[in-house]
Amino acid sequence: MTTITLEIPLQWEDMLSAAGETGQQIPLGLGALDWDGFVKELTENHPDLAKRLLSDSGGLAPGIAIAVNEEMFGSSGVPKVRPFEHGDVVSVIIPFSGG
Amino acid sequence: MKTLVFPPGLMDRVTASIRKRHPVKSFGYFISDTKAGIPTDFIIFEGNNRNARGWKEEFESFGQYFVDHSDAGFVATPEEIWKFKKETRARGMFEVGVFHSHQRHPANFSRVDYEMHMKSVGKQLWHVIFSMRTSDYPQARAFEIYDSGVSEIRLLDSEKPTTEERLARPKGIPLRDKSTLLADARELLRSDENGLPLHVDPQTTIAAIEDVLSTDDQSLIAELLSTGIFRDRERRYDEFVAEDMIPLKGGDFLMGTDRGKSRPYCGETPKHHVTVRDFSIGRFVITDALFSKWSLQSNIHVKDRTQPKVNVTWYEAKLFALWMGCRLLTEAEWEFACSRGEEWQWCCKSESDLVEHAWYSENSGGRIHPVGLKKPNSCGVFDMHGNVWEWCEDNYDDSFYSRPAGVAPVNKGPGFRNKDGAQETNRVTRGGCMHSHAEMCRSRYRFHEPPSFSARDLGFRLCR
Repeated sequence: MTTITLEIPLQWEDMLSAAGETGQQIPLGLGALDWDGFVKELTENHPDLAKRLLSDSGGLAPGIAIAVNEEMFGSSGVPKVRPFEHGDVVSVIIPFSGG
Repeated sequence: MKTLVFPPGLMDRVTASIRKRHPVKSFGYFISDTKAGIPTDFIIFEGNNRNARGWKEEFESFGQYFVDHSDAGFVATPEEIWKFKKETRARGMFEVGVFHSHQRHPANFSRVDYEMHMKSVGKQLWHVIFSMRTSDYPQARAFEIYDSGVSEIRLLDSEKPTTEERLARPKGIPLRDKSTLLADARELLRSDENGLPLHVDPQTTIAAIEDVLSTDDQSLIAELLSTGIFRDRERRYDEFVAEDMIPLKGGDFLMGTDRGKSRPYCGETPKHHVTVRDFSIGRFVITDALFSKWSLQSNIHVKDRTQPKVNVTWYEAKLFALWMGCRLLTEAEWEFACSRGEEWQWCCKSESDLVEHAWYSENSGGRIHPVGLKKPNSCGVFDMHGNVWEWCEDNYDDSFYSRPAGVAPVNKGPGFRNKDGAQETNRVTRGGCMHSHAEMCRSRYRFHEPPSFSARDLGFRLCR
């Protein structure tokens, strides 16, 4: 089992608290190291988070980007992320926007 | 109202950075050494994805204003956000607030700002808006954002005196007697042979007039209003103003908005009973042509005689009104005349009808239009929604509606204001302007500016 930590944005805390999650960092025990495994884990075990993070086609939702450890992996669509490794920290990035 | 204290120099630094970028929109974060602490530094984002695929469509869905102005709105790039997050973390610092600039709007919080903040920033952080519509006199307002709405926070620069400190009479200076107050005011009100003022500083003049008015001595006030530049005010009223004044019967009405229905607008609650006395209101806002009769502006080039007079301070507006035998509307009178006691948001039943009555974000083309081209409201007053904001007499206080209103309320108490060394008490502005979204043109929408502020979309209307 590979465990990565998913760092979620501060502003999603309420939603996750309501869903029974805790804090800002969620350890994910992944059965697979690739993106598909990541999507499967989220969809099955963290559906509320998956709804915010993923599009219907299984890529990142519009405007969402992720970084792994210290490296940015782009935004929206299916990111060309390298296979996750044990101990990786996946940071979810949503755009800062103002009217 | 809560207070947000800025450490010495920080507000000046961020304002300078925003001014340097203007007219490019600014967006950034305030950071602190401690979680939810006072801000100690800030960052401004450079890249803007506002017009990238997906975002452009989202912004344009907010209305015609965002179609007409591709620079309205800001979306930071993921790369820059990530860099910011990493650097902030590396410095052991925390995000505590967010800010963005308005190029054309006042520093007010809009529905779009609210939605964007809730979606992308989060209610843990406060939000400062810097208005650059008068770029050499930037305005900043701070807001807290909740699920239930928005409330304004008092911004305080720790280097500058508070309003209360500034307004406090220094110890050892004796109160002047009434005759001295009158003599001081009369000196400032001296006129030339044409009845035009010799003294050209409206702020000083208004301060002297207010000193006399505050005595509540009616004979003294009558003497003041018959002296110097005021000597021919009744003749001027009859000659220039009277035919465009509409008499309104006073009465009782519900002012403001119910709690829970005001999101994301500030200072409108609670809805409360107010009684106004009979008064007359100008059919139009003051035009360039009418204002040009005032000596201080006698050299202006009047392009269009029906163009609203703008770029006028509250002091100038008030002095001009008195010179014309009138006064400014109180905000209770303004709302009474605008809403006519109806529950509607505007003088018309729905937003779709607003285009018949107002020049605003959806139909103005971004410019001010001559007065009186749209339909008047039910009492025959034109342009109360949109085109230009209108100064009112009252000092702004977001808690004023919570106090007993009584008859003919007007707030003369201290409000708040922060600006380079010269703190003032802000005055109420109403009605919205040609750039305003429909929500800001609502009958009950309140905003405020310093009395020495002027802008190309801010005018006034007479009352008597």
